[in-house]
Amino acid sequence: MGEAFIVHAGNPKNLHSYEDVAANPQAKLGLVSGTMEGRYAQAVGIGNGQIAMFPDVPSALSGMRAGRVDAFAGTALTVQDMLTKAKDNGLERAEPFSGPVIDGQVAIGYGAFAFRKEDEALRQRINKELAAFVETPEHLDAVASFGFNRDQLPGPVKAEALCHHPDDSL
Amino acid sequence: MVDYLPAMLSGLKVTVLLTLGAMAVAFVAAFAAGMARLSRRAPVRGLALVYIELFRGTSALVQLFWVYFALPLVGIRFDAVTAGILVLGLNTGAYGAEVVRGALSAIPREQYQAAWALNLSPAQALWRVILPQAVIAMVPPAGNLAIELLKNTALVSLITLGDLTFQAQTLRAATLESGPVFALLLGIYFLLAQTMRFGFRRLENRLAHGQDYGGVR
Amino acid sequence: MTVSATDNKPALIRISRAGKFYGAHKVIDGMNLDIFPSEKVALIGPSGSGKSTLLRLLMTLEKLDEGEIEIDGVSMWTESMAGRKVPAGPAHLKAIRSHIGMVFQSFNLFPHMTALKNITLAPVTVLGMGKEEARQRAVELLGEVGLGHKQNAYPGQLSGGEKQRVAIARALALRPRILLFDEITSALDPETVGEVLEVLRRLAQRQDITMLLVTHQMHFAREVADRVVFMEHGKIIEDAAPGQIFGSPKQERTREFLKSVLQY
Ligand SMILES: Nc1ncnc2c1ncn2[C@@H]1O[C@H](COP(=O)(O)OP(=O)(O)OP(=O)(O)O)[C@@H](O)[C@H]1O
Ligand SMILES: [Mg+2]
Repeated sequence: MGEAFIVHAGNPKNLHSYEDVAANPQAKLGLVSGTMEGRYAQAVGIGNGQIAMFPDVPSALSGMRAGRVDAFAGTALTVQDMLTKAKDNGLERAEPFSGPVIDGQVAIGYGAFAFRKEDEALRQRINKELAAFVETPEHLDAVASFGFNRDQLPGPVKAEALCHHPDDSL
Repeated sequence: MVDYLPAMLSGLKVTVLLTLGAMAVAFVAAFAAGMARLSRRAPVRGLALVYIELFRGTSALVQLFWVYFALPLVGIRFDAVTAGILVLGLNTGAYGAEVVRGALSAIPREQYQAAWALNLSPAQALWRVILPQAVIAMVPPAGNLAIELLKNTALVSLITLGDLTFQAQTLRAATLESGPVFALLLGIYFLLAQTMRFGFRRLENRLAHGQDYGGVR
Repeated sequence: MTVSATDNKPALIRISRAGKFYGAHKVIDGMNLDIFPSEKVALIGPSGSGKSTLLRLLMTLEKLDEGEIEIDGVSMWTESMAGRKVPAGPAHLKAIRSHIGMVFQSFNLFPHMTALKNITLAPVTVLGMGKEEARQRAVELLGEVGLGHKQNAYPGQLSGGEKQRVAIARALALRPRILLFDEITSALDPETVGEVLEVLRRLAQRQDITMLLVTHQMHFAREVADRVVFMEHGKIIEDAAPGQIFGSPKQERTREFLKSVLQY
């Protein structure tokens, strides 16, 4: 799942990436507290004074409308959903947009399941069923109404490639 | 737990700043509105009533929303700290106004009459005779309101301020250690509240010094 | 000390056709009363007859509805402005009040101030007297009422009789020409009534003070007053020297009233 920004119409501060925000001390970035976007912002060197933490998505939208921040950072999905629901001509998605580059790679968030370690059998079984289900027309159909499509599918990337921690049970 | 300290300290700063600032605003608002409620002029009384009921009748969270997110749309813009201090102060002040009004009306009419018979002006009577007596009765409920205010500061995360509770929640989300984080949070709030209680206690004793309210005046 | 009828001096207090309503209830009803400088007038009458109301009108604690009250020839509730009579403003009332002091049944001392401070407050804030001068004067006044040793006591630490004596000293501190006393011994324990009456007795000797006192203590009225005014339903029924009122009242109502209070 890639990242996206909401900006004011016409993108007056010309923000197309986290790095753009870091490079412009006048720019203020809004995000929802406790999300990955906070870590991205930190990782690309956006100062604390440039960040406004909103407790939830509706507050973040209000903050954008009130001009409290110049951009709001969220997953592409969240951003699209907000813009669709807000129906606000004063706001738009920043285009083009490039995701934050961290350790030389564009950061992407992956969805995952967590299991108890004892439930190894269950994990294997679900992995098997998922492998069979993912990318089927049935699957795409089911998630379409939430705004997902083929673009967000992980493709050939495997959990083993993403998780390095020895304790990770994925 | 030591790892939590920097975040908690920055939250503590925000919480203390908001509490002290809002207490100052509440003090002024409570006296102004409480005395206005007793004014002889009906419009003054009405204005005070509107303020009190508006702020008591709606939640502080909603008030924060309107001041921080909605007022900018009509061109009134406060930074988050100012908005927080203003809203929490005015909210507490609305309750405080009733404390002020109650304490003032509890002073027997005879005290006003005695001041009048001594030819004190209404302002002198209020300042020298009525308020010093009424203030003593205001201190204990004001102490309660101040502690309520302290706990209300946890609402300011709505307007992007990182107070104690917000920092604790963030730490919780980052470490998933709810128990220790909340234990620390509980301890800090408790210490803050006790400090305030102690301060108000001292104030009460100082003001009441030498006075004995037993029997007829 | 002389009885008013034989005195040619102009009245210090002149009450003419005075009327006062509480709602539809007329509590002072067409009252005429002249009180002359240095007179000591006792006001007696049944409960609810309007005695307190009359004192409160004189203290400007209540507004007069009809008629006129003059203090030393100056109308209380009207003043002239550019040749026209207008309702009295705060400054006029303040000037009028500066001649008058009052002592209340319930003392009404300020509980947050020492006896001394209760007495110095008005001279300092109202008359602008220096603090030290006011203090010395308060010490003197406390001595006069026998409370030189209670300067630093708060009202809560004083007995009823002591509180009332402080209240008298407080009223005297502004050097009023007229002093009003409203049943000042009614709230006292019997054993402390005497000490307050003693202070009043001495005050009654002073020529520079005109006194108007409401009392239920007939023997005391008889002892200190030059004149006794009996009132009922807001009207004066009889106004005469104590000897006459208590000896051979002209009015039947006076006789009945005295009989009822004296046997009690
Ligand atoms: N503030 C008031 N509002 C309405 N009525 C009042 C008020 N004060 C006094 N009255 C009424 O006016 C009348 C006269 O009252 P006042 O206190 O002057 O009587 P009094 O002669 O002093 O009686 P007492 O001997 O009981 O003190 C009474 O009927 C009383 O009920
Ligand atoms: Mg009375």
